[in-house]
Amino acid sequence: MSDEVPRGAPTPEQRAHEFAEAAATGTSEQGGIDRRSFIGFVTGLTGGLAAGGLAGIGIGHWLADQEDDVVIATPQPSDDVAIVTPPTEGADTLIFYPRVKVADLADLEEGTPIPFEYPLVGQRAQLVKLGKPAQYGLGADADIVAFSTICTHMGWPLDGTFDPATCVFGPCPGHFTTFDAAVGGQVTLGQATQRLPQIVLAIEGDAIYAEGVLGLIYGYRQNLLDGTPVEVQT
Amino acid sequence: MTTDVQQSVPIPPPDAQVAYTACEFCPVACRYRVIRWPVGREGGPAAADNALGVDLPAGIGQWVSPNMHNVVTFDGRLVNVIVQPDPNTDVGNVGGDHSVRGGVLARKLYNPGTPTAERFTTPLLRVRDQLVPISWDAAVEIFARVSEHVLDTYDELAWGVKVYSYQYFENTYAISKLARGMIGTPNWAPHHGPAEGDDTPGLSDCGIDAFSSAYADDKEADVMLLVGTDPYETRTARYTQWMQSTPTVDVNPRKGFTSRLVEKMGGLHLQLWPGTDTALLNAIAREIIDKGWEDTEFIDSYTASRAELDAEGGWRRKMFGLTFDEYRTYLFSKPEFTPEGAAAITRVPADKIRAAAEMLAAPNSDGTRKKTSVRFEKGLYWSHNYENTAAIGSLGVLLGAAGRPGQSTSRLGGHQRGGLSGGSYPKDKSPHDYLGNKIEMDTDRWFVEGNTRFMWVIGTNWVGAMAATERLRERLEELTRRTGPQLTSSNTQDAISALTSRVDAGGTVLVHQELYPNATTEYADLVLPAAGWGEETTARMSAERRLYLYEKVADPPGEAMPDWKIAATIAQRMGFDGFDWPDTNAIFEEGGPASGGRKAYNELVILAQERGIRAHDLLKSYSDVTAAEGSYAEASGIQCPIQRDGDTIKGTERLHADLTFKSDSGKANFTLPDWDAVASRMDIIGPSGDEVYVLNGRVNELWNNVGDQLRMVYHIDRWPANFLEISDEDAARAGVESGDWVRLWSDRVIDQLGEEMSAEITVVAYVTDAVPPGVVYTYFNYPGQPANNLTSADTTLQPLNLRYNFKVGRGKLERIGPSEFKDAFLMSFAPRNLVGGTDA
Repeated sequence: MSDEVPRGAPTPEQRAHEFAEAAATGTSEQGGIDRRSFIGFVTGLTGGLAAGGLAGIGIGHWLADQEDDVVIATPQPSDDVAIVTPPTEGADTLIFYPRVKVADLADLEEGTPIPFEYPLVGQRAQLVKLGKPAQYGLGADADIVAFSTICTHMGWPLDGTFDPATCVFGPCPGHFTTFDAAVGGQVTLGQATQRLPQIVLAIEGDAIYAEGVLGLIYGYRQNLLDGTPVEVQT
Repeated sequence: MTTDVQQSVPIPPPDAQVAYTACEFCPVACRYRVIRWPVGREGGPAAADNALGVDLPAGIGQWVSPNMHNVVTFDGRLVNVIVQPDPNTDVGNVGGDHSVRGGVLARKLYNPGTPTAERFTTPLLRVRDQLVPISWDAAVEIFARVSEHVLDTYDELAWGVKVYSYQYFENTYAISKLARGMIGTPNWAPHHGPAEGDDTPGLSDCGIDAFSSAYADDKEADVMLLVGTDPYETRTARYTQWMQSTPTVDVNPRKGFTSRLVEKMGGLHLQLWPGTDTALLNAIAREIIDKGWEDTEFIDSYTASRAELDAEGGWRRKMFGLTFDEYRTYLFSKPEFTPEGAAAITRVPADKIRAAAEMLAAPNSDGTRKKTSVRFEKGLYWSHNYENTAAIGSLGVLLGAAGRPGQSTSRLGGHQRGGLSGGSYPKDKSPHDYLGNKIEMDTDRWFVEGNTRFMWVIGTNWVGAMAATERLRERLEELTRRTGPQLTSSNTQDAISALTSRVDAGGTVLVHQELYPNATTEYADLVLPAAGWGEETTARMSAERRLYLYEKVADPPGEAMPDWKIAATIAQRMGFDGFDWPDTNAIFEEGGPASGGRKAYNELVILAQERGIRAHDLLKSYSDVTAAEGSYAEASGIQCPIQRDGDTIKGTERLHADLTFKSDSGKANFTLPDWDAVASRMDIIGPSGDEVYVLNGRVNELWNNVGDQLRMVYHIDRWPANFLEISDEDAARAGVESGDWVRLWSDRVIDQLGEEMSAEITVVAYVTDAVPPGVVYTYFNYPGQPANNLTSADTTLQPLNLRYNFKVGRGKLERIGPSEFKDAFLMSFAPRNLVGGTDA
């Protein structure tokens, strides 16, 4: 499985983008918050604390191991924290959603999903260009989306079920639930008690990144807990 | 876009309390476990550190989704509650399978931070057109004194009750004990029809109990006939766990999910024209007889002779019962029942009719008989009630589908079985008869005629649920809001005075006892706040008659009370004895002797008394794995009728197992499936010109009057409005695309008095190949958009049994314009009948 999962190392452009985002959200030196004090704040977090609530800041790959030490990947090395490149290497627990390259735009073929795992190993997902506009669709046609492919009914795999004609994932091989990839993973018909979690994407240049998850992935109490973070290929 | 994006779910610590119950909604009655612990604590991800007993991340069927969790109060304390499909159960929802209805049960429980904040929490009185809070004491006083005035001044026929038939034995027993036993009114009707009585009379007249089967029969059958239902959407876990693998002949005017899956798995879908079931079933029966494939051994031994039929005491069986020879003669006397004749009526190709007969009844290659079972539901029996149920019952008898493993004929059920009579229905007081035989009272016609002065509606949206509902609503408005005085004071005596004056002016006083407001509440003078599922300990059976205890898992909101307690309080205020029950167990025990037939549970009560324990506690040991000391085999419920077995009791897997049937002779028989009666009725109620058939029914995610689902964010997200399945052809004709508002209207709705009226609903188009041109399909009871606005309410068209032709409405289509759901990523309009493989 791991061989099939495309992974990309963060590019200089990505790092620059992260830094720019951090600035925009007021969490960098440029944004007015003292960098050292911000890092100190994060260092004080515990691994299990409200990671979902802090996700989306977009500052980068905030990681904490189980001893509550925080590691951070930043454009600039610092003595305050350990720098990890690739960003998730060596971390046991995520407290922020990492930003992980999933594919290049050129890799996309309409209606053909590209599998990946995010944010933990085993959290299978698929990236697909639908060919019609979609909820939170990216790209020139607003049709590039990604979803968890673990059925939220009873956990059966949805890999291989994407139907390009109708833009649904499913019917699930377990109990036939179908999820509309153009409507944010809403259940079209079926028994799942959650939408299919949509992966939050960003496009920078030609690269497509995963940087968050909307909704809880099947099997988990929290998307960032109880597993091993995916690693970026070096 | 949805706001239902939840990023985490709390994990119960190992010492969390665990209770067991069954689902509130569909008749499968899936098993659920309820895990409860104080807010503020959590367990860990290792199995040893949580009450789920699993390592996280959870594997297949072991996950708790965020919608399975809620925060509620229990015994006044704030607690986390998880309502999870029991991953260990081996009955019903084996392995924790579940539908989306039961899967979000936790969100049904009252949490004022959710849309359940709309629950009624205190009695309300309509004063100056506002519902204002009053005390229980005042509410009960008003109820009792106005009721007494109506009963003293008029008679018990002027005092009516409209009540669910299924919301737990203890409630239905208490309510019927008051209304039928003490007051003795025949003005009593269940939630689903205008009159008390048998819903499947044709089947009953064959001698077969409508709930005789076991789920195991679905799987054990070699082949199944399935008529008028889409069980994937409506009895989900029974379908996915028990029925799905059985080769099936599916009869349905829609090509929904189940129909397409049946075809994919090698079965047949007979997509008949609406209302033609009797012709199709008769043609299949004729073809079976023509080929000599009937179950001769069963027919010879277990069906009645002409002399036995003539000796029957029941007038319907005596009138319509047939021997095999008479049935055969009828089928072969009419060209409509040849494959080609039926094809012209039903639009099912003659070859498919022949193929269906072969699949259902042709012998195996070694000459042995196939085990055939017959299953059906409202698409069949709520279009042409008597004839269709006679046709399917007779076909079941012909196939020998009765009383044997894999061979049974049954309804699938629309809800669980929770009706228990605390007083027999006084049919002798009914104003209606047919050919000199007393039949139950058409309470809607009686009301529309202005005869009902006091109406007590319990746990149902009367207005939306009945046919020609716009006339019912209009009359309700006239008789409550526009007749006699309206209240200007919430003083109890003022209220009693004004309401009795209204009664004497020819008006009606309406009491609505419910969880949530609905269309009926618009006209209520008095609202009584009820408690629901999980807020009281009660008992009820599944569609295979499996009796469970439903444990209380949360407090009712505010002053809300269980229905039994409301009825008992009113009865005591009216001076009736026998209503001083301390709890539901006392009612359950008292009701034991009244629980006859398929519901008989009195042997459990007797055994409990012998053991010196409460009957509910004994039932709990059959319903709750903790009470059964960890044995799932013992905690799988117990199938009624319950039988004595030495020093213990045992259940009954299926009825008619001794091949005796519900008739005076103990024999089964055929019953006249009179196609001419259907055909003449269709001339009156069917569409013509540019009208289409307006079919209605359920949809997977929604349940009954949607009172609960529209207070669950997850379900509102999927169905923010009622939908209209419409074919490409009809959509093109009306200029409609998916997401457009459509006005569905008719000026030929036949009302309760047999007069034509106009009515309409506005629905969101969902263009699909699931319906053929000329046929549309919509949800039957969506608030504000009730399909029953367009169904006929003239029960004189079905005089045998006073049932509505709910499933064959008619109307015209008119595009209004785009809805807010069109092209807005709010509502999926993808096909709902995708079965994989050939879809792509």
